[in-house]
Amino acid sequence: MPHANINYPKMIHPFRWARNGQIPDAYFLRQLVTAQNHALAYRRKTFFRWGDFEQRFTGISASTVIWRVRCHTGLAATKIGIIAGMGRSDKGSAGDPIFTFRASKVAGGSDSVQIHAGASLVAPTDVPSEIIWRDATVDVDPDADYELDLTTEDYARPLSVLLYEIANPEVDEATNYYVEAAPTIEQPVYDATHLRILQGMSEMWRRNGRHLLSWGGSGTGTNPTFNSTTWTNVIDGSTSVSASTPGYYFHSDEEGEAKHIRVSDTSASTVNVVLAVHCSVTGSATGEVRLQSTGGTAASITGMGTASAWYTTTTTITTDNLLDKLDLQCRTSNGANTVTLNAVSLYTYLA
Amino acid sequence: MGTTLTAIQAGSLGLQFIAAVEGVTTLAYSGSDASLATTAWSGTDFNAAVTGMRIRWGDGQSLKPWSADVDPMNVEILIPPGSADTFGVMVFGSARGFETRLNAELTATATTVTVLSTSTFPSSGSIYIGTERIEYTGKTATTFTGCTRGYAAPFKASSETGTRFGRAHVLPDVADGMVIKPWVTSQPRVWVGRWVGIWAHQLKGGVLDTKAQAQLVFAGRIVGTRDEADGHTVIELQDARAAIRDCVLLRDQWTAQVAEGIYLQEGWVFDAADTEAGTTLQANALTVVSGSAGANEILAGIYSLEDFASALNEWLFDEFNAGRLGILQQWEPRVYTSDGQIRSRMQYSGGSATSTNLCGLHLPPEVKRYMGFSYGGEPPGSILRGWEDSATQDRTSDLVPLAVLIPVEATGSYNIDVENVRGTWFNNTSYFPSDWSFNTTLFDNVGAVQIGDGPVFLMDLVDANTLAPNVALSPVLNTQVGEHIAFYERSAADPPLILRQVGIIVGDFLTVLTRILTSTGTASYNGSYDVFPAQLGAAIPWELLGTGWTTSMVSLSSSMPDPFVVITEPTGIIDQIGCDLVAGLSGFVWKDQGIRIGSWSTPAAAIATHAFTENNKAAPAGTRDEHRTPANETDEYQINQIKLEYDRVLSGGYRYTVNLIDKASQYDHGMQRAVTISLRNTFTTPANGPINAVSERLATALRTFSQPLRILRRTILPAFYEGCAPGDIGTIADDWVRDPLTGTRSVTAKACLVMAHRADWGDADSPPHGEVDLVILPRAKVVAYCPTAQVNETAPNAGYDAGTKTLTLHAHKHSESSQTVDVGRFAAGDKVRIIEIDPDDPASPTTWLDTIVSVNTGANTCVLTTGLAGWSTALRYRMIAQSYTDCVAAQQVNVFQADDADGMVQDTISAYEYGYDSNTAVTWTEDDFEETSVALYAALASGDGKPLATGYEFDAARLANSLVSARTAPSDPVLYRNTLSVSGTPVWQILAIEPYTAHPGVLNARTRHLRYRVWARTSDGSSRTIRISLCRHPPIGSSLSQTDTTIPTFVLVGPYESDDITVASSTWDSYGGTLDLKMCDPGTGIGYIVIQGQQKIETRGFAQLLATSLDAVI
Repeated sequence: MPHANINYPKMIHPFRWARNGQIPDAYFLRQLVTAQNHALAYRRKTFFRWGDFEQRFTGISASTVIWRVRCHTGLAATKIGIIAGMGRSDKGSAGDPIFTFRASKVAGGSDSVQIHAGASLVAPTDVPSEIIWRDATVDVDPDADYELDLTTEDYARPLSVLLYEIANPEVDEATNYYVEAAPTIEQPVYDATHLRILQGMSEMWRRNGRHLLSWGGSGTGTNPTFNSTTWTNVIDGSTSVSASTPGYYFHSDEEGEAKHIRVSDTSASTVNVVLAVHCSVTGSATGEVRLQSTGGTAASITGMGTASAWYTTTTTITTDNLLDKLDLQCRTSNGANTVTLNAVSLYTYLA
Repeated sequence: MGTTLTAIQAGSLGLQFIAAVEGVTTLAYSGSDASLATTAWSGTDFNAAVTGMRIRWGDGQSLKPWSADVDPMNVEILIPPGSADTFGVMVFGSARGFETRLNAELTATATTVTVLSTSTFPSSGSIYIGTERIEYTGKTATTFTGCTRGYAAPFKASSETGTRFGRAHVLPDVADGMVIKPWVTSQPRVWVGRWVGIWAHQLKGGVLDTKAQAQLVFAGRIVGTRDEADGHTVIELQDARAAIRDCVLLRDQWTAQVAEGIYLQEGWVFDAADTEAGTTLQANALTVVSGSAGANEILAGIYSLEDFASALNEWLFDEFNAGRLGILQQWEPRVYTSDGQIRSRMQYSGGSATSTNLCGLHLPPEVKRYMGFSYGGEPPGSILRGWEDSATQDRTSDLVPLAVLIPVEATGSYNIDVENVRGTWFNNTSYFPSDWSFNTTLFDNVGAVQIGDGPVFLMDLVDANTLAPNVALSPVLNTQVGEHIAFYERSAADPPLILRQVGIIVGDFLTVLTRILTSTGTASYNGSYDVFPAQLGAAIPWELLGTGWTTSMVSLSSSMPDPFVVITEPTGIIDQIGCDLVAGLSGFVWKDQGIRIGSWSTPAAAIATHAFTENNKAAPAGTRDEHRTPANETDEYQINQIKLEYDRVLSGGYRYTVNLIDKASQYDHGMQRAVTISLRNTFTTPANGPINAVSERLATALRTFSQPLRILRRTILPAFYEGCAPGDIGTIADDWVRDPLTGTRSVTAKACLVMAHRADWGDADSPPHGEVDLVILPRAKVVAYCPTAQVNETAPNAGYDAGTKTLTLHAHKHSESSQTVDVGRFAAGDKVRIIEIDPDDPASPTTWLDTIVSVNTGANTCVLTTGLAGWSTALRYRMIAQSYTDCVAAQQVNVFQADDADGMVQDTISAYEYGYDSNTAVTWTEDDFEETSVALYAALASGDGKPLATGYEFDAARLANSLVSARTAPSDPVLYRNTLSVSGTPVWQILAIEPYTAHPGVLNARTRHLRYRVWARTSDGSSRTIRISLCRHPPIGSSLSQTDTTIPTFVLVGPYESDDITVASSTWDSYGGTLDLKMCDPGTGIGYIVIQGQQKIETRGFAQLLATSLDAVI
């Protein structure tokens, strides 16, 4: 099977190739096929990154989940890759620091991979040349919800991490929605090809959109708690949104205009997203998490309870809100009980 | 567009012609009243005219597949002597007037001309240098001052009314082999090479159209002159495309010979010691210094073997003589072994005759190799150990001593001297790929230099005779392979080592080719594309290109990969670029008053711009000598296999090939005919992106040429002399042509492609005549899309009046403003479907079937028969055709989808087919559709008999763009709860190393960026810098901090780009910037983001990290 073209296809001028009075062009069809296959094979999602080299994780003896991510794999996804920069450790009782990456399909089933790296007899200094860079993969199903856990054990010290999606680039129509076609002059105008392209791109647009944010935890195994009804910034503990409170930007305002938001949904004014939170709450209170700008709430989730688990909501963010800095905030509903916030994920998704 | 063109196309023959010759203010006019010509050209430099000019129009032009050769049109203008014999005297009086010689080089814009002497020239007037005329207003003994350059140039450098087109003039150097300085004369002497334009002027009411209204029907340059027997002065011309054909790129290639020797770098230290009878002696070290050398010092610079031997031996002798060495070490730079090999030799003497003695030299490793000793073999590798015992001993080198050693250094500290320099160096930096990195502070005049017949390094020209090697390129030149990667060696036994500068140009095809065509060496002189040095440009006046040229290039440029032009030796433009034109099925044509790109397309009536009928033959049907149209079905151009060669290597040839084969053609016709296209400007990237783009484009079109072509030849009226050129699409209605569908004569509206075009405007003795060669395809399954009109949601009730059942539609959602409005593609009686755009559920969009009662193109409305019950103002809708069998005959001329199982459209007709339209360009820009969000599909859009409607094709393109460019662009900001603070007082401290992926693959020669906002402050509000870097590999080093940049304790690895951002506040804020994503590994997409800070910097990571969208659509 040939592979999809790895290099970025040029953008297609819609009016150049598809306007009233124009003929159906085999080269236009080729461009569509190339773009669709390329996007399926190579335009994959990034789920999580980390790289704090200043207050470096010192490791934990017991098996401890230090980062979590919830995500949705795209069409044609086959694996999730991990790149980990492992620091050395001289504390391992068994001399085998283990860093485990597990991908658990919400609908059932999982795969995991262990990285054994970092055993050292001398005190680590974490200078660049001391870091051990490893990469590995786990198998995943396409178009499925996943919970990703990163677990350290026996003082494994992941200092840098990247989780990213991988697809098999073989152009095989057994994999939705690759298109096996090599359009040329005299290519018949067939309904099946037409449907596979339109349907395929639409489905990809729904399911393969970017993963927007992973706050995977504090990276130490000890995650922050919130016991106030006042909304509190997860990053710095501030209680109001201002220009100096840390938050996230998701848009690409290259020309400072809303129309250049490249995550526009079909409505042109909202983006369909899933907001997922992993937390637990003591007592009867519920936990609440939101993304907040100075102009208001962009997305929120409530109702998290005592179970330490993922809680999700499907919602929309307006494109206006996406132009703002969005602060990640948390609170408890009653001020008496405590929310332990383990992770927050936000990703585009349209059922 | 001038009124003359309108008259031509209307069939008016009241035309007269004016020829303007560069530098000659007297026009040649075909009429008899010179005042008419001078009046029409008033306000220009041309103020007189000779009359009675005749023109011999030569051959026309054609577009042939598989060849990029320019076959220019040859035209002659014949000027009668008249009473003054003005042109005869000028052209053949080639030694007239005063003369002197140019004595200083002259740019195209300089207003002072320096010569040997002006003594014989008047105080003001005209001078001529080559083909250029210059008007001056004053003079000194050796200069003409107040000069107007390019006087009486027929074509301008920026626009029709813009800058006169002057030329640069140089003084040949002895290195060029001849040193004759150009003549500066008071009368014109050089004729060959002058630009000449011929304009057609409508003569109406006894008045000629003005120059602005006239039509430039020919532009070219003089290739010869004749003095005819009848007294006419004949000026022979070739059209402007010949100037492209005749231009040589890199014509003044810089070459030089490497001066022999080794460059001793400042700071290098030589040391010597020996042990004699148990006593160790240590010499005073010899140190390489700059400026002036004192005791035990030697000046940095180039040293030949002999000079170095002299200096080394002198130091060693002095140390021995001073008693600081017990053994005298001396080096012979050249000795011959018994088998005739050249080696060098260390000799040891002076030690005790009874003891076993050891001695050694401690040398920089480069020096050790230079002396002919291998690097290894004796730890440490830089020590050259010797011994001496009872008798004089010596040590012969294991390798040949070197004449040249070129280590590649990133720091620029190592230089090589060159001599025998020829040609002109140019700074290539601006045209290199954007991901090539080198220290632009140290290296500010960088070119690519081939060493002998070996590798190419990027080198900085420090001064006329000094180069600093920097970065090596891969053997195919399209990638850097790193720094410090090699020493290039030439032994003393080898011939002199020649360096030559190689030109490397990247960019999109339109930009690269237009820059080549326009560049003069004077930046922006000849339009905005004029940026290359003179030796990389053809200096075609911009007026002959203009926006007509760039528009004609758009389609080719957008569908071809960006060329990666590597010019290794003086090479003609066609030889260098022609392969890309051949692969793009395109060529240079003359059309619409300029040079254009013409391309092959599928003949289709829907995209026709000409209608060739019986009535517009030179002699229409029904006339006594009616012109019949013969047909010739030929395999002359039939090719069913294309071999594409790519990845050109310096040593010659290509590394890889791709075969495109139309096997059906090979078996059907029982022949295999192949053509090889050597793609000089296409190189490998990790997954062959550029070659894939070329091969896919060719594969798309190959089918056109894998069958015999049926070529018709017919005459044309003068209305087709202008505005019609090879590559154009038309329709033909002809009583004589056999219809492929029946075999009998007569076709109507048969689509055709203009393959050749000839036009002779005639004169008083000869009537005008012209003809075209037309290609027709036997079958006619390539027809237009079914139209789409989008309901205007901004109209009352979102575009639908339920009372009158009237839909209001957007005028041009699916057409350009110059075209028929969208609703105008529909007609009363049409069977239409109104369907929701972007339905929530693709299986159940809101939709109605209806019949159009009437269409109002002025109001962009149509009235429906049944009406749209349940209309929702919250949704958007479009109108398309119903299924094929439900539509009326007038609708069925468009494309409907066929069932892929049986290849039939609703079991009625065979499937329609895709064609290929390489010429269509549109005026829309990306912004015109930027605000339109993507629309997801409806299942009803596809199926047997469903229309292939432009609306859904438009949606597919938008979806593809969004997916590739935006929807999937990684966005992964990371904010840390703990503050990352710089501790202590380092110069830099690494705060974060974050792996990153921006997806594999590259966008050849284009730039995508990683847009970031880093969240930062300083602990006390002082001004400090935070550095954000994107690197291909993780950093290496022995510390996270460094205090001394000259001895770095960590370094960034691989291609990388860094941004330094000043932070001067104790209040947290985000600081934005962009980094080039080409720093990531193109094969895996992986890179590493490194955050470094100066003391007092604090950060929490990235508030934004987003791969930006691709370049705009062109």
